[in-house]
Amino acid sequence: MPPDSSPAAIAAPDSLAPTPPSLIALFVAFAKMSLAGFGGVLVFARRAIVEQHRWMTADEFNETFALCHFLPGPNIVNLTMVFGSRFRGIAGGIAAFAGLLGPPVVIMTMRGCHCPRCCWWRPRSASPSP
Amino acid sequence: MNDGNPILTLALTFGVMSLFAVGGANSAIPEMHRVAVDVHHWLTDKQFADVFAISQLSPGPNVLIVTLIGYTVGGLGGALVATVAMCLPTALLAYGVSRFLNRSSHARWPSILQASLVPLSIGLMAASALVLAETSDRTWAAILVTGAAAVLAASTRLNPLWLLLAGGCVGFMGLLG
Repeated sequence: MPPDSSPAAIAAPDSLAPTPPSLIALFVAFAKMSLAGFGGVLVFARRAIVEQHRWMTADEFNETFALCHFLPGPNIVNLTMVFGSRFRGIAGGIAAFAGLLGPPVVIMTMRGCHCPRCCWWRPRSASPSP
Repeated sequence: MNDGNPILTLALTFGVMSLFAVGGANSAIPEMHRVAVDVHHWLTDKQFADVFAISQLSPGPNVLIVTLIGYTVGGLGGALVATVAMCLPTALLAYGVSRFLNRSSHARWPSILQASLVPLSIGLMAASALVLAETSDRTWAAILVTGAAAVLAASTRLNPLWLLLAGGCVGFMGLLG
């Protein structure tokens, strides 16, 4: 547990990061939250964007996510494009989008998970095929 | 539909489906099941249950179940096409809407609209959390774990991965029945 884990530190930071994130920073940040995101990425996205990098205030994050929630499509994927493009135009959106989706897609397809029996971490429901 | 080219069918199917998936990927799961199992016979019922479980257990957004379905249908190419078809059109739509709302900054209604969506979105998430808890928390131990996770997540800056790890340990010990 990090030393700053006291509840007092939760208060939303007033100061945002001085410089907007670069394309590489967007890609890396979204790749990290994606790879941490077992069971969903939203929690990790808020943590990284609002608390760690301070790229948005808590209010801005809420409004951005609510819009993405309201529009069709996977919410967090919509968020990558809206968030990234706010800082670096469409290229920023694509960098965040690729960061979120690229690494897990590579992992899924490389592990050969089209065949659940081959996975060492196969779910309990998986049984030998007939 | 176009049975001759399964990749094209994948692209069309998920491209259209994403435009109706309001509220996120999980709301589209029943429709995915219908299309992949009943309509196109890409997977059996059992295989669908497996890819659903795998997509929930894997890192990354849960929408990546379409990657696994695409992989089953058309290998690596199918996986990529299904993922892009499900994710890119709506992401570009969201980009367009967000740009439009933020560009007309002389008007007040865009910010009012965006602000009013916040409580709605929070309410929807709270409701789905409640529905999930009602259906899966069948024992006192499970209710306790849900409550403890909610309190810890809300009141500390603990990395959620620790909560997942702790929940997993409790589950492996067989305490959640």
